[in-house]
Amino acid sequence: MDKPPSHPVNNPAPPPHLPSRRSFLRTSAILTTGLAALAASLKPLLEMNDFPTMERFLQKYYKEMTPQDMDKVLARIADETEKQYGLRPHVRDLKPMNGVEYVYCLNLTRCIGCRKCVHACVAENNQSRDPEIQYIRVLKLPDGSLDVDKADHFYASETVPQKGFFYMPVQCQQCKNPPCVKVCPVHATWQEADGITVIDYDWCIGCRYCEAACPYWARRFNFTQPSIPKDRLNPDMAYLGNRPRRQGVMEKCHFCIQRTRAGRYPACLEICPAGARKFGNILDPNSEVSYILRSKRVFIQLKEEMGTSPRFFYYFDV
Amino acid sequence: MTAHTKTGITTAIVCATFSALAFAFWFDSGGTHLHRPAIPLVDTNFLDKSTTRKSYADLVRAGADLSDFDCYVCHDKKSPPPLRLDTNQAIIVAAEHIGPTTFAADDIGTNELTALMERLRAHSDPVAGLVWQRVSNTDHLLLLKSDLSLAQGRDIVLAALNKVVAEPCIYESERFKGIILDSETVVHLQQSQTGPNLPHLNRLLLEDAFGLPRNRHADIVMGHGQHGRNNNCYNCHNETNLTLLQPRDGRQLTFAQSSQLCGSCHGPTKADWDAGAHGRISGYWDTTKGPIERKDCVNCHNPHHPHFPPRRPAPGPHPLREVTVADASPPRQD
Repeated sequence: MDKPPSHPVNNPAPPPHLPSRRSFLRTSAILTTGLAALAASLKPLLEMNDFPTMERFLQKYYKEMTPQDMDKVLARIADETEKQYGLRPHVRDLKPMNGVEYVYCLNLTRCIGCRKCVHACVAENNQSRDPEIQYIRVLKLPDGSLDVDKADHFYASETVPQKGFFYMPVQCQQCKNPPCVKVCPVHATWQEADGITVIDYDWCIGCRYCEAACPYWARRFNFTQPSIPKDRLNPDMAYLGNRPRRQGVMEKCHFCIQRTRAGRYPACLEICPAGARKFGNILDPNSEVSYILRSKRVFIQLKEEMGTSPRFFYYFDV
Repeated sequence: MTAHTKTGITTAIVCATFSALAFAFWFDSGGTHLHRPAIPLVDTNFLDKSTTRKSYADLVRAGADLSDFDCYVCHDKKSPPPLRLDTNQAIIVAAEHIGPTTFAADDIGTNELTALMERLRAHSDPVAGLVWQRVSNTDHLLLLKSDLSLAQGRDIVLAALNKVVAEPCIYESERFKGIILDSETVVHLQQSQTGPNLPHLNRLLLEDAFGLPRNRHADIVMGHGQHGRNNNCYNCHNETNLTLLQPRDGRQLTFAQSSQLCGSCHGPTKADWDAGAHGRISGYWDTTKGPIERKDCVNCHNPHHPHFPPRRPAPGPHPLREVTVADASPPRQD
């Protein structure tokens, strides 16, 4: 504690070009505190293990990239993945096909709620296993209602299906009028020509507005660095699809863009043991989805009243 | 106290407080990470894309042993096998098509035997407890010995299992809680709790409880339709040539064409299947890029009891805390 000088004779004033003892002590105390507070506030940076390289930091926006830029970016992603997982992935940037608009149909009469689609999706799309990220939630609903407030998605019965219930898997509905795209402040998510709403994981700032805007709770946030066992990495990757994500970015179902834009069916459809999932090009009148929407009696879009106009249709038969 | 003193004291207190806060923040006191149990990797069984059954066409493609489908090894080509009905007009399936009722030495492989013996030693689950009771006291001691040879163990286990098979129906809902019964067992459970097929039912129950393999072709149980009217083998099989199938319009179809036979009765479903709207599909939706793979009716449905069997669900999302059903679905006041 610096006391005011009581004996100015014994404590002569310092020469005018030097600070007084009091002001020196005060300034240094404030400086020390300020530095300590600054250091403490920057401490979380010590936990950051994924500093962006200059290359990634200066990367252009997806829609502004030339093919040469994209080649460089894909090579960088392949290098980073190989460094992290010891496996050289096949990363591509697949563009939408002309005359194709994807539609998903799900038969609620057939779905038995076995959740195999959930885990096939995790395996295909390189989602984090621990912490867990799953794009599909299977809701267990009592017969005779579509009130999602009554749904249970933690069900763990010995066997499925249980009598008196039906099961409704919910994932990204690939809306025609997507609220998540409207709220993104940096245009890191947008709707492509074939109807898939995609995310550029390198452009996302992790503000989670889109998560709040989505009425289907279809978007997932990487709160920590995702962890995938090396032997479970799927090396068949797409830039807008299943390439490994970083901490602090959003992700969601993209209709398995790395498969569907190469002409294949999505992973959740291929594994469904009951054949409840149907996928295809709605612009092709001979596709399964066209047949279903044309000929099946009832089909619903989940939360139709939100005006999102999903490309994901639930229907019943029998 | 002068103004200088006050300023000094205030500055000192503020500096000390903020330094202490900075110190605490740096050493992260009170900011520990939430402790949660590690999330296990999902069982690879749940990532298996194979179909529930193998169709005849699959077996031909795989070059598998088709001797099971060679009907005329046993049957006479000249006379169609007669059908026998019980008093309820339900068909009596010949014993040869039901499979043996007692367990034989080569029914249980080494791995299954080891697992079964472990479960008997523990006899903590009700089914293992039941079988354990049928083992004699001297054999109890033998089973508990660590130097027991597999052949000896097999003899003891087989004797105990066959004792259980010969008993009255062993099914009790409490005893079989948590065991997934095969659809065939379920049909048998409805039809054979008494009567000549009871030993077979007991055997199926034991097979389901201990996960023992099953001889698929020999096991035929009639459960096509819940009305019980489709009970004539020759509704679908051709009586003059047992290697062929025969819809009511008189066409003759091979086993590989069985889907057309199914379609002769299940017309709307067949129309959906033709359009790709019913049944499993894999491969390429864009047929210019690659082939589309269709599955047959019998890849998922057993023609003798076609109801889709129940199964164990894959694990759901792991909540950060214990979730009760009440949390997950709060009661609504409407």
